[in-house]
Amino acid sequence: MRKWIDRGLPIACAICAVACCALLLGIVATILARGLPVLSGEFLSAADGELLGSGGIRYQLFGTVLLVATALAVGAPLALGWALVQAVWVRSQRGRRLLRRTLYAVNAVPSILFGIFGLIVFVKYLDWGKSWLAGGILLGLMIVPTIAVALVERIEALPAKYVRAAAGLGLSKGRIVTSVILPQCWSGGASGALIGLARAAGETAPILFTAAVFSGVTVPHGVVESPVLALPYHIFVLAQDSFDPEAGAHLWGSAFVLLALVLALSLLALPLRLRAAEEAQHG
Amino acid sequence: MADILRMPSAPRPILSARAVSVASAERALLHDVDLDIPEAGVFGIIGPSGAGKSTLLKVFNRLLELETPPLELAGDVRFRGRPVYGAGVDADALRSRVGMLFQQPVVFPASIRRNVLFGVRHVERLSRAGLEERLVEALEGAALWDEVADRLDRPAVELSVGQQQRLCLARTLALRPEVVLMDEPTSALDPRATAAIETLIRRLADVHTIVLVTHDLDQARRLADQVACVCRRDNVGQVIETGCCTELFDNPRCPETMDYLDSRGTDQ
Ligand SMILES: Nc1ncnc2c1ncn2[C@@H]1O[C@H](COP(=O)(O)OP(=O)(O)OP(=O)(O)O)[C@@H](O)[C@H]1O
Ligand SMILES: [Mg+2]
Repeated sequence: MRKWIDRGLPIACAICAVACCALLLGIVATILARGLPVLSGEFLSAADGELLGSGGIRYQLFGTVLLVATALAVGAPLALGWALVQAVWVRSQRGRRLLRRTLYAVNAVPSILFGIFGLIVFVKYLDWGKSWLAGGILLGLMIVPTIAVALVERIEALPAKYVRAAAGLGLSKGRIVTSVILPQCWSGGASGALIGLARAAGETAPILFTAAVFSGVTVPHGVVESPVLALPYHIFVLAQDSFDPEAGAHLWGSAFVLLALVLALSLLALPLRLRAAEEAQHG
Repeated sequence: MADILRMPSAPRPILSARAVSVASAERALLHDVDLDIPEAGVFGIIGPSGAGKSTLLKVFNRLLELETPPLELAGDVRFRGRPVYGAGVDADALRSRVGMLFQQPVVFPASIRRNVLFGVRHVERLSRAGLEERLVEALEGAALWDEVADRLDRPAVELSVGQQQRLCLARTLALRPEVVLMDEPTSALDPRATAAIETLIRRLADVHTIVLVTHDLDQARRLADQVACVCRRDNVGQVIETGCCTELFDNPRCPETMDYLDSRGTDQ
């Protein structure tokens, strides 16, 4: 029996790992194969044309970058505040557990619910109509748990001796946060932020009713009634019409660009992750 | 008891504890501690491992409050006759006057200069020249100036452990503290580095009050003017006796101390 487990387990694990890799590679390869031929300087820099799936994706790309940047501006401070409250200011185990569970619960909220929430609050109640700001705020809220969890993990891994030594020198708690905790833990938050942003960049549901339209807009001037174009939404709409070969090509090109964007964000996070792991070992 | 044993010449103590007890959620760590620490000189605290020596030390500068989960403290602690705990007491200001040196040196991932000025930069408002002056004063005070004068902007982690411990001392001295609490400051060091720190402790004791927790009875004999023995009775740390060195070492008054002295004697 034991022998079977010893032999079977690694084989089963290997099969799972290979299947996983194959699937992932399959997706990437498909997008590469179909998207790469479409890619050109013009595709990236031209605005979309009159016809469905003609022209380039300039404003889709712009809209996505705007949404992601707004999400960062909204999500990062909130996550920073949350992480500091959870890992520094709340000292009872019960309080910390409660905050951690809340964070995981928020993380588990389906993104379409964020979209509905935004529809009710921003579109209807505040009467913004569709607005890039609403989309950015929703995406920012959505990635708070990702950033906060990464930051909390880093802060909790920071050896207590540093905090003790700084407190022993008469530094106030606020000073300890700014001169001991953040300098040694920011990389954790930054890697969390990049991974969160990678996720935000690809989300369709939260911006579906709140921020994105398919065509007819460029750069927003203001907040109310100022939607943007966005890559994931663009792909979503094109996919519904993908029987049209022209639209299909556009679809794969957009998919490729979105994948590259998301991958780039995740890869940027990697050195920060490694740095964090290294510091934790030497700490 | 402490009153009887106090040295006749001792004026008002700089630090005192009355009926101090510390407890965690599960159990009592220190019970009914009475202690008077006179100004200037070296006050030794000895006792077996886990007795509560570090805990007692942390009571005096309120580092106890940083423990997670929090510890419960009862009793009266005073610094220069004023309460250490209580509403309106600035714990951060207190900690800058009652400095602490830990068992393992804790250097921040920064340059030697930044490490020395780490506390004083935030606690006092000093000009650039004032900081520079304080840097030299602190490093000289910790007998480290000659060794690091030419590499003040190098990372502090490059120093040897003994140097790092003196760097930590310099960092504390930069705040011009009145008391320095030392928690087994030499137990991570080799004999030469230990000797360097011991010389320093004696020198600092002329103007500072040093409270020295040590495992090493010979060190206590060499350095301390007075000694308190913390032992574990009924699984709770208690200060069993205090007195001047020879008195306490030659005629230990409690079996715990005796056992402790004996066991130290045989394994050395
Ligand atoms: N924050 C805490 N929560 C619960 N128990 C604690 C806490 N800090 C210390 N203790 C316990 O209190 C007792 C005394 O610890 P302390 O570190 O003061 O001993 P010590 O005399 O300094 O020992 P050593 O010589 O090994 O350093 C130990 O049993 C320890 O497990
Ligand atoms: Mg100790």
